[in-house]
Amino acid sequence: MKKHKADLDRQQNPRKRKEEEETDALLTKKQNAAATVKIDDLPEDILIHILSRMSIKDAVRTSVLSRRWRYLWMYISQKLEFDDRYDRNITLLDDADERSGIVIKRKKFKTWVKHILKLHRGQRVDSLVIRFTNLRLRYLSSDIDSWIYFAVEKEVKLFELNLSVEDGFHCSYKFPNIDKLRSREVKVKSPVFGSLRSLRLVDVDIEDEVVKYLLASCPCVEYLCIRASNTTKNLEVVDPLPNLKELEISDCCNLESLDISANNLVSCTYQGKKIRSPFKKTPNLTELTLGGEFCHSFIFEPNKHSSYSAQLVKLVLNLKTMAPERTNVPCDLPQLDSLKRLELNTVTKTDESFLFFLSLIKASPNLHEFKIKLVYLLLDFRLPGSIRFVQRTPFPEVTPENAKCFTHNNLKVIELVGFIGLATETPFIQRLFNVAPLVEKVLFDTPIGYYRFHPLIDSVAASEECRNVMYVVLLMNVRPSLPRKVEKDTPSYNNISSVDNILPSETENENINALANSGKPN
Amino acid sequence: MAAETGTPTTLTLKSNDDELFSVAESAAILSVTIRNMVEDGCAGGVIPLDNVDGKTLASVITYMNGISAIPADEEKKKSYRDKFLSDKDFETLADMVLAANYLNMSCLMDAVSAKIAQVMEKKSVGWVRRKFGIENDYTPEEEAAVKEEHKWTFEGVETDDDN
Repeated sequence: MKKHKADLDRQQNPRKRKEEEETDALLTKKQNAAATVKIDDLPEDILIHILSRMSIKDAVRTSVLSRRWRYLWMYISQKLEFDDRYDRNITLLDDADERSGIVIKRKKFKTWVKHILKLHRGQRVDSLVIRFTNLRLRYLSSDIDSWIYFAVEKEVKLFELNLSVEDGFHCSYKFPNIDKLRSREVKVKSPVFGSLRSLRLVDVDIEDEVVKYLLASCPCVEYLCIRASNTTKNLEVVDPLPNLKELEISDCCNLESLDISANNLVSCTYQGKKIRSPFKKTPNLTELTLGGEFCHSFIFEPNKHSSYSAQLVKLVLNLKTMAPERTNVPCDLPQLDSLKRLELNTVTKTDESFLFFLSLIKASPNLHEFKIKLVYLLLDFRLPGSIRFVQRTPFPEVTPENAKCFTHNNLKVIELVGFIGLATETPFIQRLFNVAPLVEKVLFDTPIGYYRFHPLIDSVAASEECRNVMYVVLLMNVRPSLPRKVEKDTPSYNNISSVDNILPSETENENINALANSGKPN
Repeated sequence: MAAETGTPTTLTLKSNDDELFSVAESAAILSVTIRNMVEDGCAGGVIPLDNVDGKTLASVITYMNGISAIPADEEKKKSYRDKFLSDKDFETLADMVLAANYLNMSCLMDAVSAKIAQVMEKKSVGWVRRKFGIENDYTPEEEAAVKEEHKWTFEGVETDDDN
């Protein structure tokens, strides 16, 4: 019975079938020839290496194979990764209703982590990752403390503790204080986390003095991320941090000040409150991601950011929340003299122009790549009973008449994401191509799922394909000289059309070309 | 060294069954063991590799040449590794992981280990025993006890027909 089901499964799932055939080919060859090499001929350190490449679950299961394998997994030294989301699909099968399922799941996850950490025998572990996204308030601090102490005792190089919940619930777990951490020093006979290279804490409240203590005792740290820590108030990330290359401080809602003085820092993300410029001494900072009120300040109060804006090579601006009032067109623009790549992620309304962003291109004379990703806010559509949305887009509205006229000869690559075929998009695209006459590559990614059931969108564009063709036609009109190629089924995106300098060859493009020609003004 | 003289330096490697192989120094130093010999100046003549047979060494050299021809692009290197290992049987993989360990080539070691791990993943205990020739020396009671201790690891895994 079971076998029959498996056969059916294979018939219906060609990929699975192929995998099994490959696996069989891999193994049967030797089986037939009376297996001269068995896996047990390999020395234990290599077997442990192999176990280190599996998920913990698979590795632990090998303990049932034979006596030799019973304790092998306990010496895994590369990576221990616990993720309650990963397991969600596999377990829970026998839980009757979902609510009790989640409660059991939570208990089960904690028991699982505790069990594995208790049994682990290896002296060191390179990386420990724990993502527990279903914590709520049902936890004991001492449980989570013990995970951190495990990381300390095994002298991990990479540590991630992620307690975030999808709906934004903050569990308020507090990272152990200095006294608690110091008490562990005796046990490991070296500074706590002395080997640490990468530390990522999400929804973990860590005191400023603990961060200071850790940075002082981790001279090797290369990457630090503190996200959604409610106890972070006045944070200092200051030299000597000879190896710190990447820093992220995001969504710390009580942050009052941030001082960054790190000579070798290359990449930084700050998303959150408007604070005074944190970049005190960061001569090598070239990649910056900004979000929240601070990002707003970067765009609209450029004089407050002039000390570092000119050195940036890559800049990502996240404008993800609507503003309470209309934003005015600023007199000045940020100084972005070195900028090569600019990415804008913004929310917008379906009836507002976003021509303003052209001025950021103007502010970046050396810009090579420009990406803009739009997310339309759908709350304001005109359906009976829907809430009227009074909030404003996080950028000023600029009419086509008032939009800046200029030519930008360095801009070569343009990526347009989240464009869905609304009337307000056309002037922006037209103007963008007028501004950048030498553009070589254009990428469109038109999402569909998010807007699927929205009446306004349905009326605008019928199908994905239609919309792609529409954009190509639009581009042909703007720049008839651009040879064209439509890429389809690129796996990582929903739907991409690209127009670049590749000579047209495919016959499937003929229709599009014909359309493009017919749309051209005589 | 190669960079100073302008012409690529070639090393001669000797397997434990006395086969000789020429390989560009720039590719061979992917092996930390060989690199240390080069740096210590012991790479002038023939480098004997006592723990690697000719067949395996030929395979490793193919890999060395292939991977060092790819510029610093982790994705391309990964796809080369996947392709390189895709048609290898377990005996070859076992020889290669031993060679990679001896030659101290972490990227090959990791790739081969991952490949073997991938075969064992999500498979039932009986299947793994059969395929890899592992002899079960537990008493039934012991086996049941170990299974009970790690019961959760059997969720979502195919069960054995014979168990």
